[in-house]
Amino acid sequence: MKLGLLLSHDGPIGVWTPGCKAAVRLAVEQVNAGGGINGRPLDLVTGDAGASSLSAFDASRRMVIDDRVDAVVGLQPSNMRAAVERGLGGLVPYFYTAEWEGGRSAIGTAALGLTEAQSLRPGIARLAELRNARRFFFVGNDYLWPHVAYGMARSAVAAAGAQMVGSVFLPFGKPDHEALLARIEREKPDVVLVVMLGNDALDFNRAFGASGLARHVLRFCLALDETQLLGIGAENTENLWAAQSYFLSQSQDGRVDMVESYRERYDTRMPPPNHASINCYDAVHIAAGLARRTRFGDGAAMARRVGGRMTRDEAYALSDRKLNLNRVQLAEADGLSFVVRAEL
Amino acid sequence: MAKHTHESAVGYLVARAHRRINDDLARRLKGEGASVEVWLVLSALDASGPMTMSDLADSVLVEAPTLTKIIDRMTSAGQVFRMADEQDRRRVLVAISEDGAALLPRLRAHARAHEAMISRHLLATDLTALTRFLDADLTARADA
Repeated sequence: MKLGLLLSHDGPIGVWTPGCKAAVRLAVEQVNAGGGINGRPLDLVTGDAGASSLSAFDASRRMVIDDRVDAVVGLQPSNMRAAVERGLGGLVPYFYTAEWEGGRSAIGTAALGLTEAQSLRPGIARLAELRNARRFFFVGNDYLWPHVAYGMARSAVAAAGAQMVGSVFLPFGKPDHEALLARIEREKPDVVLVVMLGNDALDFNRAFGASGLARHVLRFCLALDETQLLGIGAENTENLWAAQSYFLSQSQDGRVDMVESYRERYDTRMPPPNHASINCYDAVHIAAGLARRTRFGDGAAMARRVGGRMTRDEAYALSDRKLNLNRVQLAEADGLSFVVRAEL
Repeated sequence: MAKHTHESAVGYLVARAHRRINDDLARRLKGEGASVEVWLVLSALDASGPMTMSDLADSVLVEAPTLTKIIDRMTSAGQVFRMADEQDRRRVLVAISEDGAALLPRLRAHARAHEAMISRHLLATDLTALTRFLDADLTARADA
């Protein structure tokens, strides 16, 4: 049985690559230590999906055709998910671990990441309530996930009796934020909603902190965790909030085992676990559980079993290891760590 | 006495030699998909353990903003990662990853071959004298 791991070694999502690799290696070792898949070992094949739909399509096609993997775990931005689904062609199941916009996906895709309905919508309501926020400004990358998030943000802001005072969608890899920061200063928002991906979120948050705006304006960021706080730097994280399924500084029931085996395995040779690497870790155990339940660990049969609308809870029920489906929490940065302020 | 032009000045000769030497090393490392900066960062982290961004910038001879971009790229490539300092939880350290440590011996072999190429041009005594000259802080002496 071969498991493919599809990450990106360049582009905005690369910030999570080292952690995801480490967590997946650990999970594969655990599966094999526990007898593998019905007595046969689980082999890991890694691939680089790159930063474009074309490279993602090529990498996923190579995985099924050349490497003959039986299942794929992948952390891709929403705009590359369809390319991977086309590349895999429904021949193997695809465990999709990134935060996403929700909705339908292709046959064989099980989405394990949070959706804005679980993070952004309740987060806006709680921030409006906790911090009496009245004016919101939206900053996103210019692709599917942030555009869907914007629609949801508008309705959540309206429902909270607050106002959306502006929005900007930026292309990937555009590090010059001067004009944008000047505009944000003019609009005087209480909260800037940041729906940017990986390294792009780092660049924006560094510039935002350096501009001095952080002292008076809150930031509420999606898909952001301690890994990125380290990149943003403690001097730039004042008034920065995030909603996440896992915060490192918050030890949660059912995560202690994973975090301890991770520390034992890597000590300080790999980055600490984060929400993305935990999703990838869980995905390996879910894939192993699914393979044990499917005759011959046949990829196509596993993909059919996953179907087109498997929920997160249904996916987690497939695992033989007790995995905790983490609660979503709203937290505020304190230097390089997060302090949980509310359950969402 | 020869006319003093910029092309005979020691500083110019050192800068030109640096460019030639750097180009040769860069060409060798390119085969591994690495750059001179990647080699220097991995070698520094392997020798010293996790380092602050400012110590690392000093060690690899780049400015802080340039190093930030280098570390962002190397993180994506899975070669290094950032971690919080256990002694000071607001301070960020950069550390070499398992993948970075696995790449390092291959880069080191290229760097050795590159050194051997340079030293073939010099007698052992010249090399010692040159190394001593380049390692000294030449601007430390008062001009007066």
